[in-house]
Amino acid sequence: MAARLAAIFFTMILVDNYVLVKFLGICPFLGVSKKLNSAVGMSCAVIFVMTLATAVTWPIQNFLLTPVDEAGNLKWDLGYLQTIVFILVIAVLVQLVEIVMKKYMLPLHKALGVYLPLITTNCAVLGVTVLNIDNGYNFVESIVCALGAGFGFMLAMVIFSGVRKRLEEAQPPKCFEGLPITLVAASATALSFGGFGGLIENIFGAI
Amino acid sequence: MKNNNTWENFLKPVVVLVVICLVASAALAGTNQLTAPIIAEQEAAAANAAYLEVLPEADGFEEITDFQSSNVTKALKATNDAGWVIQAYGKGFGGDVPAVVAFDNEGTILKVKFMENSETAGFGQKLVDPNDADGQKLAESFVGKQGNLETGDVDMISGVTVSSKAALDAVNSAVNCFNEVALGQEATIEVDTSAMTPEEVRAMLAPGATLTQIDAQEGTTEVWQGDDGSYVIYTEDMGWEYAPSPMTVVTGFAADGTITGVWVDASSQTPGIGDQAAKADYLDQYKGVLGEAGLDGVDTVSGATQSTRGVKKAVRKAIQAYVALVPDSPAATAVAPEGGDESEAASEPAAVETVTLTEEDCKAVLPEGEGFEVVGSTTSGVQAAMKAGNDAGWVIQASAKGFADQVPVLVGIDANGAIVNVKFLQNSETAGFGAKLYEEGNAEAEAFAGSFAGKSGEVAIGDVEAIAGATISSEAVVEAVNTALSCYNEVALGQAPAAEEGAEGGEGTDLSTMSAEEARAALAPGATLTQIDAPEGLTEAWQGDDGSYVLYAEDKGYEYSTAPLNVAVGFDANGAITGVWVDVSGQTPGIGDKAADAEFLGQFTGITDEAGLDGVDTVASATQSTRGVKKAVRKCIQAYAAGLAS
Amino acid sequence: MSKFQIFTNGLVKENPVLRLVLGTCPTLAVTTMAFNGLGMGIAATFVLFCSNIAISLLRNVIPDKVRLPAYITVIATFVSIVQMLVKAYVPALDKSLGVFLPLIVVNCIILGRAEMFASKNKPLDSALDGLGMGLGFTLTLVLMGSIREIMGSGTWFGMTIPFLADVDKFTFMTTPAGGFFTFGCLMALVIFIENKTGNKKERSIGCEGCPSKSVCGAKGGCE
Repeated sequence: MAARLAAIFFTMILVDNYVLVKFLGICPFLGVSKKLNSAVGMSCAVIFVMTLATAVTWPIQNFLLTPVDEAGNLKWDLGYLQTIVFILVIAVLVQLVEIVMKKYMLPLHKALGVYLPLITTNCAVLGVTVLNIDNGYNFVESIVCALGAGFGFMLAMVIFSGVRKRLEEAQPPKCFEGLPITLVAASATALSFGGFGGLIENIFGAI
Repeated sequence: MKNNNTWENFLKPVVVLVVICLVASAALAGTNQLTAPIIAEQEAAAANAAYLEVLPEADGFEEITDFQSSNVTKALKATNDAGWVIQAYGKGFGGDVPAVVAFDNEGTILKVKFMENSETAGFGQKLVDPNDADGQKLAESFVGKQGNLETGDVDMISGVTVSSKAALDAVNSAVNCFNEVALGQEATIEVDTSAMTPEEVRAMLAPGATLTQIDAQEGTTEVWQGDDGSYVIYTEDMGWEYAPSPMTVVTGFAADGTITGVWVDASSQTPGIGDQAAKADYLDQYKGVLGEAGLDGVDTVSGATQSTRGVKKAVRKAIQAYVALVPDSPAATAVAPEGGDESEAASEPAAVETVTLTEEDCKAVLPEGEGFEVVGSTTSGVQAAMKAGNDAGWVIQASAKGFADQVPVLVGIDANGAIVNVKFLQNSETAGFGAKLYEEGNAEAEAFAGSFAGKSGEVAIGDVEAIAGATISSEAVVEAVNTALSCYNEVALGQAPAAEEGAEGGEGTDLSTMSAEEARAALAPGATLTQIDAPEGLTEAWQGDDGSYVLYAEDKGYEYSTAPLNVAVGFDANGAITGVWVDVSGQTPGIGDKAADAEFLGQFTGITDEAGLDGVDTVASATQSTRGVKKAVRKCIQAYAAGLAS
Repeated sequence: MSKFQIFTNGLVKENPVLRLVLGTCPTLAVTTMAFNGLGMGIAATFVLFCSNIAISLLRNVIPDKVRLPAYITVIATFVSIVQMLVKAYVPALDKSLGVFLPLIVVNCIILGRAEMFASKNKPLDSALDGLGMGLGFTLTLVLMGSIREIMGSGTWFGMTIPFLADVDKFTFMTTPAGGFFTFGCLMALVIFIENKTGNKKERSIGCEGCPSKSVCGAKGGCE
């Protein structure tokens, strides 16, 4: 059991990295990774929102939208409402969290709160909640998956902010300045993550 | 004014949102009505596509719904009699692993396709990926086979044990179903014993009896007595050494003392591996077993050795308790079943399983041999010994402890005592290391095996081409081969059987399994020992009434060990060391426990003073542990010289 | 702007992907094959078209406070409808787009245009804008998809290219890293052309049409 959870967690961080392999959350990735501080702050917010969103949407899917009885048959099928319910729940949830944070946890709000609206309507969060359902994970596995996705995001962000720092000194051709060279740098970073293929299965395969 | 504000600021937004939501829901529900049937059709067509893919000759299918076989989702017969397609599933890591199997009318498998599953990406998902070589290899290895298959019959995906086994189970379930619907055989219904309640389990093991619980005997957790003389006894065993909790084993005894059945709760063992100990294939062996002697015929499951051995131990405890309860039962006096084992393993708990060798097995290492017959051997470590009827030589299977467990080796010896051929059998050594030994086509293993040919007498590790990096497993192999050679000496040359030199097995030298009293008795034979105040540097001191002493000292041994080495040194009345006993449980298994080797410890016997220690060699590769023993012995000698010598 | 200009705006001048840098996620993810790019583009265009019209119609009804949830609901509805239609009639596309089909709902292009245009303009204009933007998006996706597919697998829309059949494929292009690379090069090309024609546009990744622009921009969220 623990091995399976660990396998899921590390797969999400390395092999199936949400940003560099799955292409979810590119906007904040490209936008916020220039400074290490904001990169870390953003990532923390992402981890937080992803986990919270999963914790809320998983029960909704499995008890409200497509609940199954003991024999495994669907009691009723409201699966088509998944998209709309999920996104609304996430939006409302994050809004609430931001309000609560502002009122009761001001220091935390100063650090994370800024990024919350940016993540709300972001592919990464909705992506992880939908993928959890698609993969058929149970509740604990979904949470672990969300945590892994979040940490993977953080890893990618932090690494990339380091790369971008180097880019500042670089002198690419005029037409590459700015966004294009950043994208090419991201390409190199994504390439490095490709090397993780087969890592997880060989570490956890023996178990 | 105020009303307007409330309307504008509060009510209106809410109302608008609600209305939008309602309209949206209606639109969605409407679209769903329209499209759901079409989607369902698509999915059905996709499934049919899968069936046609495995049996392209079929022009259509009719579904058979009347079958009992377990774990089958669909049974389809081709309308043009081209064959059958059966969709079944096995229990995998995450959930069901479905497989679609095409059979011809005789039951030969034509094609196997694995359907979408929720196994882990990179592991069980390999089954489904058409580009994955391992998954394809496994699917192809089923083609042309018939009947129920074992893991050895197909190309399991290495490192993906659980999903591969589930895939195999799925195909076997399909085979069972085929047998039922196409050949008219009896359905194989898998009774899910793991989901039974305790009452159901007891009822299954003691059918027809009314059971009442009585006081649990020593070594058991629960005992139930039936009104017809039957018993159901609950015992426990850890099984796998790292299991979080013990396995519960329930043994049923009929009135005549034979075992009716065994039920195991293996939930604490490694899923997919240790839970083999709860499977019917393994547990069926216990049915009809009478008494402890009957257990000798029960084989453990390789790959799940610790768990299945744990079950055997628990059943043994149950049998012992039963015998205590019903002393005049035939179970108490039952002897080993006739023709059960080929050779006697050494009477030590270090379990060396006895095996039966077939003619084919023997010819693999002694091709000239014909008409092999069983011979008895009392050499410890020997699992089977066969003599070729045409006097071409001998075939002996022996094993020695490797890294994880026993490493069995089959040795063919010619009539002059020279090794003809060596074959490495399946073991539970580490993949990529000792597991290379039995890997088909592995060049290193082949070179290693080949390097034994022509050798005789005793083989040293330097004489052969051990597998680099797999030292421990290779050493175990050498030890096993030497055991086989010793056995040859015994059965062919009539020499006295050799007691095991290694760290395990062999009476008298394996002090580590002795209790403290037994160890002291062995170190100071014949004396009555009384404990005295331990002098400085020692943990315990015992004085014998004949002037002998047994002194205990400690040393850390390996610098990262979890517990210090506990060393007991026996001195006779003249001050010479009679022997040394070491408890190495805190040292690295397979490495540091060489410090308890009889070979190493034997060096201390006869030493009278510290100077004598200079002649004691530490064991390379277990330097810290053996050095630690030497230091502890030195402390004992110093203490003895300081005050205790008379 | 004339009706025609509104329409063509989204094709080149304010191309959502290459000029406004919106909708980067699907751009990178689904362009491994030109067909997928086309499918995604059409699906997104359909949603964009419908939601622009709907939101424009409701622009005077939806109170400012709740405009974001309202827009999301409307867009999500259309996305769900598209999902069901695709699942029923083009299941192959559903399989290849995977999670990105429902993710259209958070595609910045759609939310961005709703905020920037549809909420302030008449339905007909909004419809044209939606069509134009959607088409621009689709064309870019097809362009990127074609480049990646031709170089990476030697096919185009699934058809093997004759003279590339024996050439070793540059499979790097179909990997995630290749996606970033292609996008970067494409954008560099566009900037090159811009510099030549003096049409330079300041790009600040995604903020242009992002609904959170006011929030994070003010507090220094984006760069």
